[in-house]
Amino acid sequence: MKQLALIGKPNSGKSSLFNKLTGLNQKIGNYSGVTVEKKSGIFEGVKIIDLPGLKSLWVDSLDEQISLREILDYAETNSPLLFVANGVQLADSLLLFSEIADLQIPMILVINFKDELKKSQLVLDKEKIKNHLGCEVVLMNSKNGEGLDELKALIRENKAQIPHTFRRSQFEKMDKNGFENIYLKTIKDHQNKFTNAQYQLLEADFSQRQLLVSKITNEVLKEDPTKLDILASSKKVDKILLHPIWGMITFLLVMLVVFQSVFTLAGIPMDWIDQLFAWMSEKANANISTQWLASLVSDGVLAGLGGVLIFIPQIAILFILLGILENTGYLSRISYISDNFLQKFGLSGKSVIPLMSSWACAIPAIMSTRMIEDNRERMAVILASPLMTCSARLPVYTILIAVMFPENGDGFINAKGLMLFFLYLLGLVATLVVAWFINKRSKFISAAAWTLELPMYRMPNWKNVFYNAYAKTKSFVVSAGKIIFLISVALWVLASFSPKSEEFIDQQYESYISTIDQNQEVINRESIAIEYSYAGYLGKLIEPAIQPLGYDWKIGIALITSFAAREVFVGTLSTIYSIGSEDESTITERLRNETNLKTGQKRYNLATSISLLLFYVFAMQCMSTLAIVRKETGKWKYALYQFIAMLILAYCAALLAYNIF
Amino acid sequence: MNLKELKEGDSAILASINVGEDIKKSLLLNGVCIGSLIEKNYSPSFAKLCNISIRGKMISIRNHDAINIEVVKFSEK
Repeated sequence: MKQLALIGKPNSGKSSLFNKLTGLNQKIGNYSGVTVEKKSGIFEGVKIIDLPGLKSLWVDSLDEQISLREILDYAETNSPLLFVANGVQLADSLLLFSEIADLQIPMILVINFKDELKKSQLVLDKEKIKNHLGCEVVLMNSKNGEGLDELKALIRENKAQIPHTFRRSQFEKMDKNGFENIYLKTIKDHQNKFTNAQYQLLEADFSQRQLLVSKITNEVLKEDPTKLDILASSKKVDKILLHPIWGMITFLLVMLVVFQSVFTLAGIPMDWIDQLFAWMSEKANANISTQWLASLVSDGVLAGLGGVLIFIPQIAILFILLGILENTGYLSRISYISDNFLQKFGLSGKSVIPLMSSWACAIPAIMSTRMIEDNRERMAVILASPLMTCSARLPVYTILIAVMFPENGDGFINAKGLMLFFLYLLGLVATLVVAWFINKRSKFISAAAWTLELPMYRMPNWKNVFYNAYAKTKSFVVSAGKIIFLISVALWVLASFSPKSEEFIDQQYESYISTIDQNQEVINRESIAIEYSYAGYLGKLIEPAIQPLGYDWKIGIALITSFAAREVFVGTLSTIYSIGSEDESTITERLRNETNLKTGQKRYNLATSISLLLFYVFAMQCMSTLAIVRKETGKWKYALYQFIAMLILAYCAALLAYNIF
Repeated sequence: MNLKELKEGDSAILASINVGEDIKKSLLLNGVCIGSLIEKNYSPSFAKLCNISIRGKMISIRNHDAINIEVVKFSEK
């Protein structure tokens, strides 16, 4: 199959164009490093590959190395590239174009952001630039697809051409194979340590390239770009958003709105989902005549799935809001205002994007650390970022907070929202402290170089924002749903069958009834039956270890199953408690009414709830995250250290909390 | 004068860059090199970062690097 790779500087609209060409929906954001590994799709039989953006062939970060390797492969196989240039930063984009042109790879040049060029009163002479570069040029707007038909036609007709070279001949004058022996060799070798000699070569080469590129841009752009301030409106906005007072207030308000929205806006659809599953459960019990099958459907499958699907509104809202921040360019400003603060923990503003992405999911966050050039900082973020509150923790927090605060509360700001805000803050503090500790102990060498590009402010591409939120939520539901479905059925089997006889369970129930006093709440027989089920024995096996934290064997089962993924905790509890209860009340009500058989008090009292919350703040209960840590660090030992360290931290915090409260 | 001392809104030509090779490379790849025309943007002191714009791009450099970059104000040339 023919293939065509999209390449260009970061934030030039490659992913957006990729989506238009292939119909796939890549993650798109208004900051560098959105595409951290190559993605592919098909356009009329041609494989289209979206590569991470790179500033130059003199690459720094891991994601740039992926692109460099691919470009060098393309040079060997003579496969075509689609070079995407940012129209308002044409000179900057053409610098990279000049480097790739010297590799003699067939290319089509797409000059993107036609709308912004127009807004900036810049008129581009397409024919002139085509003649200068020696390849086909398409002027387009990848957001609305303007120019897309012309580009499609060029791809269909295989019109990629090897452009004119820029500096290749200069190296070949020095030596016949000078381009390969001097230029390319230095590019490939420089990645471990950048020497003064390499800098001399780079500086001399770039000075010449800049001259050549400036000559072209001066001729093809009808207005002098230096006389126009295309950044004027972004600069005005920055005066507010980067202001020490207004900027901080805006940042805190944005964060507060994000967290409160997750609770308040999601409340109504969550109630609908809750009621839908209660209704389905009731219908299953009423219409399925075989008792065990009705129980499996109602108490196993529906209870488990319902316990997780109820959180779709919250997760979707979180992803939509984070998507808006990315698309507008505000995330880079957060990097800016946080850099000085993060330096105290050995991090930089560039860690903010992976850290904030961890609020959605640690997996893409850890992958996005590839854009951090500093190895020491990158390792610190990889190892500490799973402490940030990911969306999988949200179901666990929501349930436990709802158990702690029975009243709904009035107004936009309420106790539940503040508690959630506190938990997010705790996750953030833990992440920073752990990152600081790793930095102090790390043997990785720190690179001192740090510069940050602040993209222009743009209106969000709403279609992309909503589609990304949909894709991520779907991915969460599908990946979690599969595990939860299997675990729910397995748990139903374990909780419904017992190695003991029915007579034995009857005897235990009668014995329990005879020992309770009048003030104690009487539990039903099914609760005793679960205790003597296979699941009960499994939970009791670990009970001695978790009892000091205030947990019983039921919570123990949920802790074991949620080692696969945190969100399984809720599904497990739903399954366990719906089996032990005859009413169809919500999981929250069931937890609130759960009684400690020994003390007769509520099982989920303040101490246990806080202890459980803290356990989930610190524990690494996500097999997928461990797998991605192994992949990104190249060693299992880092994933293992991380798992053990976080488990110890979680246990100690939970133990402390249980004894204090 | 150095880059940090430049006032907001002033344009300047970069005269010398006396920073480490890694940061020089990072600046160069962003188009910042000796002879480049830059403009100083709003740079709040709390962030300890120096904001400049160059050829339609806005770039931030840490202050401890900015003081080692000598500039000549454009109007003075």
